[in-house]
Amino acid sequence: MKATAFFDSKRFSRLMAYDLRLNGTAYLLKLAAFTLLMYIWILFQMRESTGQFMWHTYEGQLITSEVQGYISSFFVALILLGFFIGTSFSAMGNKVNRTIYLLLPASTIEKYLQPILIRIVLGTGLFFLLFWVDAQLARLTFEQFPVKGPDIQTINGIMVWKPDVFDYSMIFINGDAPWAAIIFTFISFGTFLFACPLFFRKLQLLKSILVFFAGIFLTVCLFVLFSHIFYPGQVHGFNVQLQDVLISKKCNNIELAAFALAYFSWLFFLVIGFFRLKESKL
Amino acid sequence: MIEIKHLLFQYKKKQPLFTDFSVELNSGSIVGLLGKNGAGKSTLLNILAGLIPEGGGSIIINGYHPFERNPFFLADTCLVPEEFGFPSVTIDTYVKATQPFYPSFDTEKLNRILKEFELDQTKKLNQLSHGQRKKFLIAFTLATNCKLLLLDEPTNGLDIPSKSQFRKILVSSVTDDQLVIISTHQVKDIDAIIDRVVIVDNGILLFDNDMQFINQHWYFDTVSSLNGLTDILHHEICPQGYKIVRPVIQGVESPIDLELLFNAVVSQAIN
Repeated sequence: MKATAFFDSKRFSRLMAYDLRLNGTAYLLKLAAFTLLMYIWILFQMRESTGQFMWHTYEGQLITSEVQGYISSFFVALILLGFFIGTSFSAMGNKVNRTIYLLLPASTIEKYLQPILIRIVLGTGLFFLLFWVDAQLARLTFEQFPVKGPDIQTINGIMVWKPDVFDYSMIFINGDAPWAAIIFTFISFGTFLFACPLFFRKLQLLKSILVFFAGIFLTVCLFVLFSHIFYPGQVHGFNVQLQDVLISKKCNNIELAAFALAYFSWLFFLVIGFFRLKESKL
Repeated sequence: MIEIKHLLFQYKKKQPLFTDFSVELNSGSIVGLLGKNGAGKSTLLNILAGLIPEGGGSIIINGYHPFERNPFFLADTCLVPEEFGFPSVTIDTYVKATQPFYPSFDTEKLNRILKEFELDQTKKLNQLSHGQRKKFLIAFTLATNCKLLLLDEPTNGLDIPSKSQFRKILVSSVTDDQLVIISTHQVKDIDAIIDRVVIVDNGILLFDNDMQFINQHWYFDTVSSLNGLTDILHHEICPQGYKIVRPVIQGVESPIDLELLFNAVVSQAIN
């Protein structure tokens, strides 16, 4: 088989152009809707939880509650991003569009890489950028029309606005959290949402989310079962007993398993998604 | 061009659709694929297009195995499915986005066919009627100049003038290096344009002959009475009396009645 049958840069660029020509307006509308929704949401969060969200001090115990408004906004943005990524293969959700998609003269790897580039790489970058812009716009709006409640009067700290996702990490984790593992966990979940819908014909994203929770539940059940088998006297009911073994000076077996899942599961999801697309039929 | 050997196919939890289907089809012909409802005509087209894997046997089209969906194979195969849809864009935008995938795409041919079908390229595809969208799909498919064109019920949804336009356009645009397979129930829409008839029934190939062969072997006629006719292979009542099929005598040919031929083949009056 010719190498160009597997991947051809010209054909891939045609596929990108095809997608942007036919779906460009839809992408723009989605981005506009995201921008508007997040702006309103952040503004709403500021108004509702002024003390927790907008103003904070690096001193004292207020930090934990201060970041909550920010976390909720950030997670809403992540949910919308997940929805955007999870609908990458919505064309496979009905017979008519599936026919068009499968018969499009491009290789499977090209058809698979195209939404990765548009939705995961460009989409994620744009979503973060727009989230940051929204936060800044919301701040400017709020500064123009401040709502000063009794909470604010009691805070004597420095009034610093931190709606920046990148700065935010500094407050939240004090630099100690395993950032790489957290980022890879999000990437793995993103690739799960990207690939899993390919296994379903209808309600692809909803079923994928159900599969995710069912997977977690079944894993916990398995641990419960193992706990009852290996530690019969120590566990009762739905409890789990985990035996930790120090593998290195800084890492035990449970951490290793969690890190392995975080770092490598995205590879697994990408590969099974590719083969699922390759074997897709009408 | 198409070589199907001992094709097996069965949908999950259903009766086998193809049990031992073999056929060879070559370029330069328009093939009419006929069969009863549920005989597997659309399934066969989908298998040939690479949308469904065969259950057994082998299919080779121009050296490619369809279900591998090799991009070079896809660029040379075009399917007009019975159910189809388009994005919410203008004809012009759709053509600009899609035509680069087909190396032999002929824009002039497309414009000519669209003109004949009276389709405005600035119109949005989802604002067209079903028949107009079908006409666009046919026009686009013919303009791709793909070596293999698979048309599933192409005349469904077309009005009477459009059906004759379709026949005229198809005959004038197909070249010797192309193979067109038309699956349809409406045999009268295609009887004047096909040059080969393939009939499938009960998962096997029941009949496969070109029109010339049919003309040379069977005679189609309408008679008021069957009295005195001893060599009738198959007959059906019609308002004028009876439509009959009998062997050709002394090389006298008749226009082929595809519907009658189909019924005669299915009732095993003709092998």
